[in-house]
Amino acid sequence: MSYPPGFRIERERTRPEKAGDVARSKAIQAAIELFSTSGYNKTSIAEVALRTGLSQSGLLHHFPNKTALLTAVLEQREKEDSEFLFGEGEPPLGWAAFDSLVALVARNSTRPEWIGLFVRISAEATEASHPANRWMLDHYSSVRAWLTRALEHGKENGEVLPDAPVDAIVRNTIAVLDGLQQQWVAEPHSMSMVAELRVYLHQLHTVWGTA
Amino acid sequence: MGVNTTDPYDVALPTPLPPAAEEAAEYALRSLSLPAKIRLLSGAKMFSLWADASVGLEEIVMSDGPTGVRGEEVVGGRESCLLPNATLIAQTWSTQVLEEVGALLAEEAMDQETHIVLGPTINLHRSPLGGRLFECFSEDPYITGVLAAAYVRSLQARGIAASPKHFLANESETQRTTVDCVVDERALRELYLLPFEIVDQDAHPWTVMASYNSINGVTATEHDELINQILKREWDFDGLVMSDWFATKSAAESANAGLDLVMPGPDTVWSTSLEKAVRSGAVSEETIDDHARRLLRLAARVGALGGRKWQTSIARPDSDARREQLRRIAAQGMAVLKNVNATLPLSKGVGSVALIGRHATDTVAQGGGSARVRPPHVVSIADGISSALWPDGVRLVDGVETRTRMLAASPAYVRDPETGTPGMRVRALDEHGEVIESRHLDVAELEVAEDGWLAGAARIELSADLALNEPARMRLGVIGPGEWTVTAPGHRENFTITPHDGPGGGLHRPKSHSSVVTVENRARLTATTAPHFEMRIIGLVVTAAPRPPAAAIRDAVEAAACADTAIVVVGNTQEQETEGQDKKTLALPGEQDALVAAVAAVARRTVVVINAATPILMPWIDDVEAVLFAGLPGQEAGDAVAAALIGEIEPSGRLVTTFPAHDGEGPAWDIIPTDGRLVYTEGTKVGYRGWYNSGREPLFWFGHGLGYTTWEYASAEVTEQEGPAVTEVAVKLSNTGSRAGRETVQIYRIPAEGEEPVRLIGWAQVSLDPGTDGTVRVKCDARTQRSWDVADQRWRPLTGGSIAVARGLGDLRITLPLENGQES
Repeated sequence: MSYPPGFRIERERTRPEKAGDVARSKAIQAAIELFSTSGYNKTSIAEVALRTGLSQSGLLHHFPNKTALLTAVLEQREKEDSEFLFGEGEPPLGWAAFDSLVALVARNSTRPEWIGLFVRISAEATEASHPANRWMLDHYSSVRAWLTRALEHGKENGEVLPDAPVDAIVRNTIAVLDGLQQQWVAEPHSMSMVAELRVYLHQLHTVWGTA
Repeated sequence: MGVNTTDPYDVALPTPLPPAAEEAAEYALRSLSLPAKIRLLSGAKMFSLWADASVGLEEIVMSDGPTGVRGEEVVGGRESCLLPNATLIAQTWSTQVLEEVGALLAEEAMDQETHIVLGPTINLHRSPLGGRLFECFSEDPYITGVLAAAYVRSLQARGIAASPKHFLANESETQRTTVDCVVDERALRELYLLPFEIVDQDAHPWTVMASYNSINGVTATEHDELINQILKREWDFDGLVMSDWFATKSAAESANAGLDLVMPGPDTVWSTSLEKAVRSGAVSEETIDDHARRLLRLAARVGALGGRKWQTSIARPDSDARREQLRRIAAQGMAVLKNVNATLPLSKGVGSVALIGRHATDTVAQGGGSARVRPPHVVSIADGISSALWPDGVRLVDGVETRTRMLAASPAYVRDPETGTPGMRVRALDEHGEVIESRHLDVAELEVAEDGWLAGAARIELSADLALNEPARMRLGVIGPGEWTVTAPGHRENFTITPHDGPGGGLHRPKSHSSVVTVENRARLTATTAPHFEMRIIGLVVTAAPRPPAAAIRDAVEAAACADTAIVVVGNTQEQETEGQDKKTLALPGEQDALVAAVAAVARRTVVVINAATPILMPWIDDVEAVLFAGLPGQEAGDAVAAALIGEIEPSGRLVTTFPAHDGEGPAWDIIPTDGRLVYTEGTKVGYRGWYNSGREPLFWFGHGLGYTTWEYASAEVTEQEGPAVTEVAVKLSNTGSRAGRETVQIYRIPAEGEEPVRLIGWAQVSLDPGTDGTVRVKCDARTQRSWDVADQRWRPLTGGSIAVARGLGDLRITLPLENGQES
């Protein structure tokens, strides 16, 4: 799940962070490759360091622990999701925003290891002290901002009924997406997330659409 | 019973050199001075050798193969037949097809008065990441050797020399010019040398090409052990060994190691230093004589020592005869990987079809690199399916982006500003901006060479007017290394495109630069570039601006939900299937996996056509009904795919390499050298040999391919042995399906010793009508049933174990135990 650049919360970054950008992005790329082939649990900081061409202490300078590395990976993935959904253009609004979620879920279904990672980390990250907590909160508020704007836009141009409960639809949609993923991870390939999501979206259209 | 079998041994060897020709070569040798001989041992130009009128030696011309005979120009040259790529041809497992390919290439060569076709490429599919695998036959050395031998025999029977390459251990492209491949002796003998040994024994190639890399610390062009000791002495190779282009690093070392010819010319390390090395005693005159004798022998063989008469009236690349051949070969090689509920073949008029995916229109007919050919046309998969299946009932939906490097503009988008005809204007300007020369090109790219018409230009200008139906957001730019200025109405950009490192860096896989600009019809695009230090391909880029993947997938989902059948066409491009660069992942480029998954989730039935040459991951495999692995099908691509989908030609291909289910799996994966060395740690367990008994299942096994009917194997027995080697197995089988079909009966030997890997030892093919049975006698080859004894430096036959009759090792049908090499 992700959101367009305009709805993204950019954190301030310090100068030393920028200075290490090249090494950081190499390490993130290495971690993505290792997490997606060996999984998060089986990947060690040492392996990431080896693949990055850094010493272990060099890597730890950029990422104090594996969780910090994971957070960076999640941010990177979110950026990729954003490009997938929006490219360089304007984000889709109205029902088109909801329809584009189908493509995103289809994409996720081809990367089961990533869904697993997302489901586990979003459960862990509900703890305020968890290193990915900030990322998770940013993630949800950005998605909400985009889908809210999408529905308001839909009301303005008449595709969405004026009395549609925007906040509830947005939160329900996120709940369906996350809930489908959780069930899909628990019982791999037990159902098609794409087909299930389409049923939900069809209901939304029927109840709150004007067409 | 209608049994029609073929086996790999039904082509006669070409006749040896007639004594008169050998004498003529000797005579020529004796009348040449040392400098004259040395001159002949380097190329005269990029793709030709020196003539010497004093001995009647004519210029010998060569062309890159093996996908077609391109001639000397990489782009914009003569239109040539574009064949299916090597893996697709190899998937036929048919020596008859390889003979047909050899004959076709020989005729294409004759038509261009070309004496040598540089191929076949017989390195192995070691790691699936290898960029150039599309040009090599298989992960298995035996099928590679047998198919290559059929090709070479057929080519040379027509007086055109082959050049099996690259000798040796060039299985990946990363740092290929410098990498030291560390390969143990058993793996060298049993895997990497074996295809060359089989070709040498069964087809007597007239040349062999040495690779760029080092093998166990010695660079290939200086490898005395490989060239002199094994190839020339042990195997009695009497042909010529040439270097790969710009591979030769030293004079004396390479000449003494057995290299005979340095390419390309005219200036080489031999042309400058070899005579000095002879004068100083570092290289003997006998050595030079041996090289020159081999060169003159080659000349005699290809008819360059005395007026070759070139055959005329050869079929044109776009003639009906050629189109039929190329379509048939491509379709026959395609492999049905999955087909539930007899989804394939499709029948006409069964309902509506959504044809989805960028490869449907941007069909990738060939890989990238030196093998590139300019075809007369490429039938896109969209055109092929529309004309063959449902002219009115096919809804075409573009898919997601597949390329990050743009291709030269389609002539449909560009008009020469001076003539108004499709193509572009190319002008050579001097330092004052005056026009030296101006030409029209009917394609939007060209090659800039040192000796070409643009060599003297201070600047080169490419220009075209855009042909658009309405104002549109387009990507405008250029391909090719150099400094560039690009202008269009409201747009001006200066930038530099860097070349790739290594030989041909400006020529192969040219990079692009483009920007999205909103333009109107007839807008003028102009690009100028300064001189560049090496040969390069340059051209104009004009293509539609990219859409976000999610938007493209949204459209595909909508179309698929309404159709009775969704055909999704996905694949690789020349960014993955290319010389000079390896892959990092087997995942389809771009967001194509998401596209397939989305379509499969909503369509009633989904057929996936894969337009790629090498293994790809299929994370959606459980959700689709059918998969056709279509290779890079050459110029008749779309018609061949259509013929296969409707079953007009049975796609009877069997995979020639094992497909992993995930990145990182399989006996050999990493191809990135460490400190310049790439260690083949898996030894002899490459491909299925390593997968077998590894405890992991691949996505698809080497040898897998369903065709359109089903087969039942009734019995098998070993009918011939030579000592412990099984040389014939008789297999009784029947076609239990409802369609006529062609089966490839595969025989494997599973050794008793755990350390000896399983291996293919023979195969044969049979065509049977539905409900009929037949007995196939499969010849098996003793050269596959031995292991190299490193201590004694000799072969030892395998004993015991068992024989397996299988449709790929994932589908074993009959196992026959062997006792001490004898049937029990």
